[in-house]
Amino acid sequence: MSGLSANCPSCGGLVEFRIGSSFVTVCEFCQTAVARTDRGLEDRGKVIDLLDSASPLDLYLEGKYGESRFQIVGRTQIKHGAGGVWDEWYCAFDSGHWGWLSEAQGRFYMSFASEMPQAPAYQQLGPGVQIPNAGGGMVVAEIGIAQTLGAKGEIPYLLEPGKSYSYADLSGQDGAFGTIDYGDAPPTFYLGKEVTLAELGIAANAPARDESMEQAMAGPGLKAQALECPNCRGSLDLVAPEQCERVACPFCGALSDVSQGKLSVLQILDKSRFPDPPIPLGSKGVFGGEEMQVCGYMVRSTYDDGDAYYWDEYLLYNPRLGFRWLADSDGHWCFVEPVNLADVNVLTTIAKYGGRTYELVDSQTGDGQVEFVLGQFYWKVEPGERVGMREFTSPPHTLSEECSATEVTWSKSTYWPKEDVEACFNVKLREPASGSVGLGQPYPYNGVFKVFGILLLLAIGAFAYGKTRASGTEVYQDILQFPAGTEAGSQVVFSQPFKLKGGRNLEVDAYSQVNNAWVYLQMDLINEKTGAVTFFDVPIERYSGIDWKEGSNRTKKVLKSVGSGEYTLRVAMERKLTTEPATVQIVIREGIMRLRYFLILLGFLAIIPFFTFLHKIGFEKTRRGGDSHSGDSWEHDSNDYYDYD
Amino acid sequence: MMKLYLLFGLAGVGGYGYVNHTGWEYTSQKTRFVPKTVMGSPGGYRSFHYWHVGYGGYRGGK
Repeated sequence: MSGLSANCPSCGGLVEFRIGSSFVTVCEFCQTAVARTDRGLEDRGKVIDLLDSASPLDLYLEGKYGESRFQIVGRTQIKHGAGGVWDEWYCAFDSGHWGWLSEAQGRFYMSFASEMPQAPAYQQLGPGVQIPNAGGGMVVAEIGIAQTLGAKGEIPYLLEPGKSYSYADLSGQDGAFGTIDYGDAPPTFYLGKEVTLAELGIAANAPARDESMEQAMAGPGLKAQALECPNCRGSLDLVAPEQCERVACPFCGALSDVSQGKLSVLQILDKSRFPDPPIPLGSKGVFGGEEMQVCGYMVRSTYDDGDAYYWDEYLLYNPRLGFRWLADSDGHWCFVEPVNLADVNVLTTIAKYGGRTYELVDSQTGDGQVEFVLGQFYWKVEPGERVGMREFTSPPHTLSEECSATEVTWSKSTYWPKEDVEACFNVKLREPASGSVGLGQPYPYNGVFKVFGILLLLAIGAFAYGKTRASGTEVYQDILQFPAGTEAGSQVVFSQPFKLKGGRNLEVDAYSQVNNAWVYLQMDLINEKTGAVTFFDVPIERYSGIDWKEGSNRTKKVLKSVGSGEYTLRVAMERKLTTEPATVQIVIREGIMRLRYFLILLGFLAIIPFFTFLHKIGFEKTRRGGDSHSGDSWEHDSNDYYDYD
Repeated sequence: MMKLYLLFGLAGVGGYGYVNHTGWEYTSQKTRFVPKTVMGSPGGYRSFHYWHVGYGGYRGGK
C-alpha cells in the first residue's frame, strides 16, 4: 500500500500516502483526514487549521535517533486539558517503524509504541503514582484529557478529528518518558525519553524554512507577535505567541484568554495591589550562556496562621530552552529549572537528586497561591490558582515540588546573588530584607571552616615535625656516682660546668636503676658567674611485684628558661636504701618541644571557627524559618511591599 | 574576615613553629641568688630543700 496516490473522497483533490504504514493522510486542499481501509479511502472528517507555531520542526525534515534515520512525515496539534497546545510529530524510520516526537514548551520527547502488561485503570492514576510495570518503573507526572485539533501530513493511526481522550504522562529515571493513551482499548503505551534537536541531528540539518524558523533556531532572537489589549488597546508583544494561553496587560491589568491568536478579557486585575515589577517585562538577561527574556511576572503567596507571605516569580523564555523562572523572595534571588520527576528520590524528610541530598524545610511546606500576574503565560493562569508545595534545600540549590490535582512537577533552584541579577538585567534591586536568609543562600562564612582545616593541618604538621626531630639540644650528660652511706641524709655531687644559650626551656632527664625503692634528687642549677640558683627536685621511684609494677626508673622535669651562661648542677640525693651505692644518669636538653603550646595554638585557631559555627546555627535556623515562611510578610499595606532607596 | 583569619592563623602556626623549633619560653625560671663566698665555703652551702624540707623530707610513694 506504499506510494499510494488517490483522490480525496471529500474534494477530489490529489492525496498521497508516501509511507506504506501510515493510516491517514490529510488532504492539503480541504483538510479532510483521509484514511485507507480494506474498503478503500474513507473520509474521517475535517481537521482544523494548524495554529501558527515557531517550532523548529517541519514536515519532511530528516533526522536520526541513535543510529536509526527517520523523516518527519506527519503532525497533529493536541489541546491540553488546561488549555495549552502541544505538537506531535510523526517520524517514519527507515526500518519501517514509527516514532512519536512530542514538542511542548520548547522540550522534545521521542517515544515509541511499547508493551505494558496490565495497564492501570485511568481512575487509579494521579500525580506521583508509581507505575512499576512501565518502562522498568515510572511515576505519573500528569494526567489529563487531550483533544486532537489540527493535523497535517501522514498519521500512523486512525485519526479522529476533534476526538478527546484521557492520557497519563509518565516520568522515568535518566530522562525516560512515557505516555499511556486511554483513547484506545486496551490503552496504548508509548515509551521513550527526552531528546534535544542536536541529538536528533535536526538542529544542524534543518533548512531555514522561513524567518521565524531562523529566529527560533538562532536562540535568543525571539519571534514577537504584537497584539492589542482588548480592554485598553495597549500593545502587547508576545515573545512566544504560539505557547501563550493567558496575557495580563501591563498597562491596565486586564487578564485575557488567548484562543487562536485572539484575546478575550476574563477579568481586570487590581494593579494597585502590587507595584510594578523591578525587572520590566521584555527585559533580556543571560543565564548559563543563554539569553532569556522576561515574558511574565507573578506574585505568589502562602498563608501561615492567617499571615500572607509573598514572593515574586518571573517567567523567562528562550526558544531553544523553553521556559525558566527567576524567583525573588525577601530580596533573595534564584534561577529555577525544571527537573525530571523520576530522577528525584524522596525519603520522608530528604530528597536526593543529581548526587546531592536535600533536606525538607518544614516551614516551606504548604499551599502556594497565585495573587497577581502580568505578561504572558503558557498555561491558563489566574489569581487564586493553588498548588501544594514542598521545598528541600541543599545550598546553593533548592528542590521544589508543586502538586496539583492533575500534575506534579519538580524544579531545581540555584541561588543568585542580587548583584548578579542586577548586572544581568541592568536594574537596581532592593536589598535582601534585614536579617533574612534565602532558602538556597549559601552560608557566607563557610570559608572560615576551610581555612581552619588548612591551619589545623599546618599545625599538626609542625607538631609532627617537632615530635620526629631530636627534641632539644643536649647540653649535659653524665653518670653521677653516689657511694653507699651509713647514715640517712643527703649525699651531694656537683656536675662538671656546662653552657646554656638561655631563653629556652630545659629538660632534665634523670635515670636510676632502682627497684622497690626510691631516690629523691634535689637539684640546684647554679649560674657560675652570677650566682643565680634555680632549684627543683626530681624523685625517681619504681616498685614491682610478680605481676605488677608502678613508677619508673626515669623522671623528666621541664624547666622554664634560664639566662645564658655557664652552669653547674648540684645534685643532692636522698634514698631509701643507703647501704648500696647508687648511680644516676642525668641528661639536660635545652630548647625542647612542649605540648602545651600546641594546645594553646589549637585553642587560638578554634576561636573564630567556634563563633562562626554559633553564627551558622543561627543562620540555618533563620533559613528554616522556625514558624514562619520566607518571603515578604504583608499586612495589607502595599506600600510596605517594596522599599526601594 | 576569612583573609584576616587566615593571616592570624598563619601567624599563629608560624609562631608555634618557631617556638617548637627553638624551645623558646615566654617565662623564666624563678631563681635565687647565693653569694659566691657561700658557695665557695666548704659545707657552707645548703640546697633550697635543706632549708625548706630538710633531710628525710621525702619518703617515697611506698
